[in-house]
Amino acid sequence: MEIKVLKNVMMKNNAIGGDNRWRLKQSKVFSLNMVSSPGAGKTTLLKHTLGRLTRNHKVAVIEGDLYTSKDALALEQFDIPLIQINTEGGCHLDARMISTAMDNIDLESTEILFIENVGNLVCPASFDLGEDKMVLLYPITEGDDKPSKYATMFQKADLVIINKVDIAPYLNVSPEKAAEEVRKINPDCEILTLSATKMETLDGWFEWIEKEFSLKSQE
Amino acid sequence: MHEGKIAQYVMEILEETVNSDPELKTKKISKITFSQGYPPSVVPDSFEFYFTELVRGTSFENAVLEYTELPDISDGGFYITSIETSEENTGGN
Repeated sequence: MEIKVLKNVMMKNNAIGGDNRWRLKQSKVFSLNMVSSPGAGKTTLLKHTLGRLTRNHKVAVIEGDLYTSKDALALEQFDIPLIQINTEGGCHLDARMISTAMDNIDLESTEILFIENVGNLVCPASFDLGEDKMVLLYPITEGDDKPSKYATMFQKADLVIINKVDIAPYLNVSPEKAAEEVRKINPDCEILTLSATKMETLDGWFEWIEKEFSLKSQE
Repeated sequence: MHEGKIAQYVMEILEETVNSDPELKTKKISKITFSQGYPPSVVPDSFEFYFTELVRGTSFENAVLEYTELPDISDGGFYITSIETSEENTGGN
């Protein structure tokens, strides 16, 4: 006997992601899921971003890593709520981990929540965390052909940040070509070009956060 | 590698489905059909590596796993489409 089931397996994760989204909305928290391959510059960008944003905003961070607290330690200088999740070998953060982490953050006194996902350019795409925006860091040092090779992540991103462009002249890669390749995979996402280590290149990123934060506040 | 997590989700859904139907609860499951859109988010070989471990000792242990494509779906979803029971009883109640 055949029994129809027709259930999306990801609903187990997505249901909790939906709850997370509702909780964040209730507390008027703007949340960003920062994704990339390992070594793309997520923590460096976050460090510079916190230096700037914590002047005017109440910010919290959830750090995801397979092992160690290195990334959390790198951000310890900021006096903000900081939750470290160790996935113990798991290749992504899932909605349940974020839900538990959120239990330990006072959402009512948080305006912006950064979630730094595990460095992985494949798996995080399948797991909705309940965030408002998925931000994908794409270092130009990986070559300008990556968007079509890792299409799912690029398709899901709301903002793609082409990072490390200061090194591009030393390599046989072009940030413009990289942006074109992103457009082919995801015509709707926004694209920024910067170097996370160079503060003077980050204005567009800060403006994007302020714009999206104010849009979210008006909801 | 996320297939390990997905295998757990599949197990939870299968158990909920079977436990909600008293008749189904007494049957062995002979086949489970999955479908996913394009681009696929689950690699069957990797999924089965984890799934085989999870089903050991359950009524799903000997089920054949089949995969079909749903070309119209592009949400990265991985669906359990159907399950088939064998005539054989689990011996339980």
